[in-house]
Amino acid sequence: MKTARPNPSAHSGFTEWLLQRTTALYLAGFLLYVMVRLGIDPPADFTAWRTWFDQGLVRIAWAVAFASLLIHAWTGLRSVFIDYLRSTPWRFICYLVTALGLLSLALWCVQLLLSVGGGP
Amino acid sequence: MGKNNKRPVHLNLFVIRLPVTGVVSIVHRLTGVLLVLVFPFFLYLLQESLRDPAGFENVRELLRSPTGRVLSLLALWLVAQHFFSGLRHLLLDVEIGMERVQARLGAWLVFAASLLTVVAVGWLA
Repeated sequence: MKTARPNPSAHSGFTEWLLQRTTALYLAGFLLYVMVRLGIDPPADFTAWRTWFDQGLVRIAWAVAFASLLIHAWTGLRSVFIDYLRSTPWRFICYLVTALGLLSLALWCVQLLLSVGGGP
Repeated sequence: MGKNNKRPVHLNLFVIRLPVTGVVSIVHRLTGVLLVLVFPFFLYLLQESLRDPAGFENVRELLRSPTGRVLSLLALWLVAQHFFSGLRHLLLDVEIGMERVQARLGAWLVFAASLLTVVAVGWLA
């Protein structure tokens, strides 16, 4: 039998655990809001769509949603790698690829939100 | 081990029968990973739809085409399944649905709710 040793497992990090849950709660609320909002009043044309998106609070809500999603993705993929990848080099490579991918997506999100700034 | 040394010891996923709670757990992970892969396509469509009237119409036509409808309903299933199984996880965190019967019922409800969502949206939209 192996003795207990400090072995990083998927759910050892309290920060990650908390981040995963808070981002999940925000994303759930945001998703419901967007579904209901667009379900009740679907944008008839481009102008209506942009007018909704250009409201300050809506854009902030989207920005927080993007950030939450990317953080949530990081915590989730991290657990998957920790659980299924036993070799350190592989884990490292996957962390690196994931981090670079998520950072690129973050930059894309910023660019998207800035590009819709000035109204339709 | 003790009294029964002949019990089968294998973790071959094609041999062991995973309880529904285990299935919902692995599906939560699978949908999560797939959603990350789908996200760039969603971002692209969002960006196009917000660019100019032509982009908006393009995205709308794409989503209304038969292929677009099937793909967006599949994406919706990923979101709904992950949403409901995530909700189940959050409830388990606050110790709701921890008993075996409730945990299994909850797992079945997750599958039912996500399928119902897809059917409802596919029917209405």
